[in-house]
Amino acid sequence: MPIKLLFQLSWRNLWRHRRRNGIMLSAIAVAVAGVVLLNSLLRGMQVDMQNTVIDNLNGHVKVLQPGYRDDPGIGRGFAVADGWEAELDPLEVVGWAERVRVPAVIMSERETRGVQLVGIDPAQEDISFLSGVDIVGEGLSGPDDRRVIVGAALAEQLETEVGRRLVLVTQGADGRNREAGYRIAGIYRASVAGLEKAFVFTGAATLQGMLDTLVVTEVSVRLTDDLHGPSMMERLKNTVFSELDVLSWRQLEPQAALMVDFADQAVFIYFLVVMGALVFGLVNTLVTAVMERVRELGMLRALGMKPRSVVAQVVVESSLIMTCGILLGLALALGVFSLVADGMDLSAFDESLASFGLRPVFVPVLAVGDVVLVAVMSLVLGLVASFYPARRAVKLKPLDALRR
Amino acid sequence: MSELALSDPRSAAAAGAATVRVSIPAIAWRNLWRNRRRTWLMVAGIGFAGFLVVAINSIQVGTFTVMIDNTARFFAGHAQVQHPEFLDEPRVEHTVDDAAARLQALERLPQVTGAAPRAQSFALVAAAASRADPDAEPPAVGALVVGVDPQREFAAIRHAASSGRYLEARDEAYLGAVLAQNLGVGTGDEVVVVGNAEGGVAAMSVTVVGTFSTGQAEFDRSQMHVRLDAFQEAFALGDAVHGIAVTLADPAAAIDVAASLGDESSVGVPWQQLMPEVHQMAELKYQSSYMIYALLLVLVTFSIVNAFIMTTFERTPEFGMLKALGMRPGAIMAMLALEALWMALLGLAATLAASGLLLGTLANTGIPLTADMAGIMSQYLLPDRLYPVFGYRTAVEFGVAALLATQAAALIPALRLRRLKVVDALRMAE
Repeated sequence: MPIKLLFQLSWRNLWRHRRRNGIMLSAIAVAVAGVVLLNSLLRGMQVDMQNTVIDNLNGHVKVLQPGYRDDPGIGRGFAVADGWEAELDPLEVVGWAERVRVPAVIMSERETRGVQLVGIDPAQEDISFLSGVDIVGEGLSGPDDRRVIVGAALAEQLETEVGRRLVLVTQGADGRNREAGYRIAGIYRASVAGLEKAFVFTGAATLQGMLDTLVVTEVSVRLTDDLHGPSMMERLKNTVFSELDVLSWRQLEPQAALMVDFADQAVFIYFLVVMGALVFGLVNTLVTAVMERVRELGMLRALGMKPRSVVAQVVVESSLIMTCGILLGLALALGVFSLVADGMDLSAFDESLASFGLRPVFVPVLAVGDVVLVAVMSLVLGLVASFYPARRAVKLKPLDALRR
Repeated sequence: MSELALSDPRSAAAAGAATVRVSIPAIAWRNLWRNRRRTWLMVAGIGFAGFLVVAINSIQVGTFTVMIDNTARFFAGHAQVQHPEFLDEPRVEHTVDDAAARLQALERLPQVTGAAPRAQSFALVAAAASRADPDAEPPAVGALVVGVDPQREFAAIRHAASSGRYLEARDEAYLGAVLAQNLGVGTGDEVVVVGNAEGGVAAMSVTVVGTFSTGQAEFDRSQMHVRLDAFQEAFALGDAVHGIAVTLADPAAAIDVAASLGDESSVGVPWQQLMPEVHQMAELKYQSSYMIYALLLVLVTFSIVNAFIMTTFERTPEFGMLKALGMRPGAIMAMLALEALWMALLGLAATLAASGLLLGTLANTGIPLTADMAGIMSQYLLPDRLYPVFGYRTAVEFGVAALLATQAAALIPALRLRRLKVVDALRMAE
């Protein structure tokens, strides 16, 4: 039986029951769109979580003194050789930053809090969340700036404001406490309140001066793509930072990495759940389409149509309706996605999202790979669902069928 | 056909003894089994969707009930009595007065299973200068210092001692292991606390009797317990506290109970406000699952609409006959509605059977988690096995929604029957 005729027959058969097949088509479209959209929410969460971890002063790759993570302090600092950045491939790297980061106690006239005091070169911080924050007052002017910037939530707790002074106490390289007053240059507002409470920034050289040292405690590198991570880490470890720990963001935040990886499996889970609910209706429709054509199929068999062709007809019918449903579903998903692509306001769940490292404005992400995967899996499902109806059709004996 | 008079009960009585009385519900039931395969497919479809909804929700309820309770018992309690402004501004002067009297009143309430008074403040903590080397300045660390009543304190932190014991005598301290390490102190060492009291400096000197390691970095790094009476004296609080944390017999009723705990100078704060991140996480998960439930229900409804379109199409001659015999379109529609009802009830029975089987099994064995997942779970104070708890509310909601959806699904094709021309319909039988 020529393929063209096969398609023609199947296509016309579909139009014999417009209402029924129209509804089946809509169901497939809704299911495909649903899986694609649910997945875009999860992908958005995955991208957001990963970016937050990287923005959160980690970078893709971070260099630390072994032991710094268990016992942070200037005692675990290291000297950075001039020109180490020559090892970085400029095509793979967005930027890098050297920082001095120590635990400290911050005191206003009224309140006391524990914070991380971070000495930075503001020009290098286009790789971290600092590049995106709104600052009331001024940012730091350079590594020699003798002022601090503090988070809005911390400023509120300390009952202080721009221009006022704060006292910071931390341990110097010799193990003795250092205490110094800093004027507040600016107050920053980050997307997550936890960051505002955790980090106080000042100039790197200023902090090194206070601690009587020239070392830094960390070097962060941000890459253009996570894929460059392993080779970059190996290069740094083998050349300039051989004595130090060179860690990826996955090693720094293993739990976030686990949740990020989970999103890769979720597309299959969503597909099974949603398509599982669809498949009963699909099989039902296909079986009915066979059963009500028993006489017709018997006639065709009697006229010499091969069983193979009968099976082919059922399979092609199923595939046709599936293909149309998938196309319609993808169009529907794209339509809905364009409405929410700019972001959804989830600020009602701010604190919970923050504990997952997520921002209150949530931006879904449509990954082409997922869309293709859903489309292909749906087609396969269409073939599988036509198996039982096709078997019914081929088991018909022409004589019995005609007699009915 | 004449033996089987099909009519609604009112006209059946009028028709007299010649008719065999068959009720419409019974006929609807029999109609379902005229096409067994289709009925079973639809029942399985409803059952499968319902099973997924119940399974997802039951795992969530099981997880979050335990997580909320464990987190509350860890420190915050199911509710707290606080100064009205303390929650937003935890300042040392925002106190609850007459703590002793309030405590006794709380302990008399039947809903309250435990009550622990607490006073707290951020303060600078440092090891006392060593006698051997008085010039060496020990590091000072910011910490949350909490004054507790060791007899009444329920916080799970007290059972997490990594060295030493919990508080007994006055002027003792029990602090996080990481905090102790950062301070360079251990059991037996003396620690100095300096903080801001109302109108002056608060200072106290205490001896470390124990350290705790909970695995919760925030607590291990920054919390220190001292005796409430010592704290009150150092911070000049008198009989005042910053909160009385309570555990409840029924944590689910926390909002109502908390509302009844306040008076003119204090408020009852339920765990939903004490631990907003936990509450929101649970709500976010519950609510985002409703997207999946809705999608499943829509798909099942589409399938059922389709099944009824096919049914009414195949049975058009039969309906024409019934109409010719005098059955009113309303009665035919009622019959289809009953068929949908039976189908939905069978589907829901399948849901119950499947989820009962699953939950019955998992309620004993639990769902074991991989080592990686267990690591995450312990961060949220969850055990390494999850025990699902049947989510009644969502199950009932799905049941009602499925009944309504199937009724709507049966109604759409049935509406056509009103325009059914008897002659055309009967001619289709040829």
